[in-house]
Amino acid sequence: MRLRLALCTAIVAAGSLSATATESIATESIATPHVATAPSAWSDAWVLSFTRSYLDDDDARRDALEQSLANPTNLYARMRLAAYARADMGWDRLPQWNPRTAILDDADVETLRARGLPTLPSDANVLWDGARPTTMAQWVELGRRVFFGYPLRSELAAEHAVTDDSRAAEIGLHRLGGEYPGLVVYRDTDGSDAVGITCALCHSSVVDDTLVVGRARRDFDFGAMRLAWHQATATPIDPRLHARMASWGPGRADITEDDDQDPVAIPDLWRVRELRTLTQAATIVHETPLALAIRQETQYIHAGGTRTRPPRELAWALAMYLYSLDAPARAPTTADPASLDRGRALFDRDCARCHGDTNHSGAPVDARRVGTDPALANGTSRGTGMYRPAPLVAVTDAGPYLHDGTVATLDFLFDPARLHAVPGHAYGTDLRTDDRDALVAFLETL
Amino acid sequence: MTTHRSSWLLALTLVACTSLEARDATGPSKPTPETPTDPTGTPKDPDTDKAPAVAIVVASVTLEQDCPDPVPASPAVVAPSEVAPAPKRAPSAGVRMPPRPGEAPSVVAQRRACQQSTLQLEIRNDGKTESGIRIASIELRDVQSNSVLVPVRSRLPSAWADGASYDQWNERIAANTKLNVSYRLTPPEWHTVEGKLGGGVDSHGRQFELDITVEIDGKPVTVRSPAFTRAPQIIMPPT
Repeated sequence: MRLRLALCTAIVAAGSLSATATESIATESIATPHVATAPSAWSDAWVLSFTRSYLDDDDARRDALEQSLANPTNLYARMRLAAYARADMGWDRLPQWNPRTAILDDADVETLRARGLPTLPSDANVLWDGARPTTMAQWVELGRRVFFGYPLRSELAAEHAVTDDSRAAEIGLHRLGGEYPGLVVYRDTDGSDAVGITCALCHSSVVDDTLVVGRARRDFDFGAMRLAWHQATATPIDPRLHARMASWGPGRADITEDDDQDPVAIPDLWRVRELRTLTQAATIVHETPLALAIRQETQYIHAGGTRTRPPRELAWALAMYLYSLDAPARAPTTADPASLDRGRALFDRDCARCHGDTNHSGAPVDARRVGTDPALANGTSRGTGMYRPAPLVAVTDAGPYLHDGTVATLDFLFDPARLHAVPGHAYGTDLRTDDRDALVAFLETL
Repeated sequence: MTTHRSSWLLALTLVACTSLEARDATGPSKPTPETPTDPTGTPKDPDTDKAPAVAIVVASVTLEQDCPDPVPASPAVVAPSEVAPAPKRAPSAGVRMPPRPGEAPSVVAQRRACQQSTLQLEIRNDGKTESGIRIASIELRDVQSNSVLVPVRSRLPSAWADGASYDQWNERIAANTKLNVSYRLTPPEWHTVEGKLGGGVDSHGRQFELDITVEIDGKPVTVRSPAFTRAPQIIMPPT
């Protein structure tokens, strides 16, 4: 099997799991009844105690689905309630697909340039060997392969863009060590070879020749990539879609399954296990790891046109991998300690009511109270009427801000003049300049 | 979870056949007098009152576009059921962007980004002999009004093979075999659908079902799909 050495060696994902800890936690041992004390919520042991429920208990999956949908009437929920984990019909009856896949590399791009068609390397193997992991470390490693290797779908626009180095760089198709994280060449379910996109396309970034996993790819311009393909191929495009894609810019895309105009900023995927709701619109209640695994499983099913489903081991592994991701260590702050103390006090006074969780997210807030563009919160696709307070992990590196990425910097976020251009989330805009600076200095430590 | 399982087992004991429907918040498909269907895909033979050897379940339906069919690699296998004439293609309602100066149209242009409408079934033959399968008809139903709207056409049956791909299928299923099969669908004319739904009704976001009448060795059986919505007017990659 072709190895992706560059990605294996260059990844910076600090991870919340130490090797020692993860090796010592075995899936099989967690479920045995002689364990004296219950593991604490969201510990590795607690997370792994749900493994069998997700993999082997259909009723538990159905129960978890229903409990995880914040608004059972939006499109996202209705689609899943109608088809997921039903005994009598639906997606459980789809065939499992364990694709032959390899991360796209320079040789594949040369093939594309020469033939105009992708070709799966002869040494590319199936993504998973079929052996169910037994430790957290094994789950995380399998999840890493899923994150980089399991295609969500084929993407002709990416296939086109990657054949032109300058265009690829302009669009945000990162390259490291001769490989393109987030792009794969794979054998599709119709037997043809294709270039596909994976989780890593939007949720990993090459920064200073290092791959940072979980970091939103803020320079990835999905709309521009699609438009470049339409232009190069003279493929007709709906003028409304053209206008919409052109309006996104880097780091933003409208990915909901409706016709609402509600683009979002690509989010970082750090300390996900501390989030109690998933998606900016708080679509999913994340009370157990089944919620995330079901989210991932159904995402693959839907993205692939509901023709196959991933082996559940892969969706579970991906969830475990996401739980392992944390932001790279931050450089020590050089801010004045007194200013930091002042900023912390201001945060506790003005921000912690909403951003009070360990990762500084919090319970969903009514979109009317937040005051930002309500299109996503009220959208037919994933709307709940609420917005989730953004987690503030490495927040000074997390711009653009707000759910839709319409505010470029923290300074601008707290600038009262900003409210004329981008209304809503007025919190902090009434601070004095020195207090605002102190707050930003404190945020730089998060 | 343990408590839930205990409750569930108790419920199963008391109301074995109805529990699955009760836990579906969307209200799963229910047989109606005008269209006798069994969502489980195991209708009884009225002559013998025994479940037939072949059971069919609808796994999924996706109604998006209609794409050009692949050129068959070999004419050796021909599906016996309806082979529809060349389907209407998705309307190219859009404008062409002129190529950038100096840039020739790419060979990629020869392949179109297109999301094919499809139907997936799981077919199980517990009998001792091979059976023939043929889709006789498909009807699009509106969940909200519980009414039949328009017919939908299928073509190009394929079966999941070797855990890797859907390959051409001759609509035969061997004894003691389970197959995952897929058909291409020609999506309906949505303006016709919306006309039948009533003036001003937008079919986007509305829930539909398919009633699929399958002939198993010549005997018709109707199975119903899970509810689904049509793809957005502007198709984007779902995530």
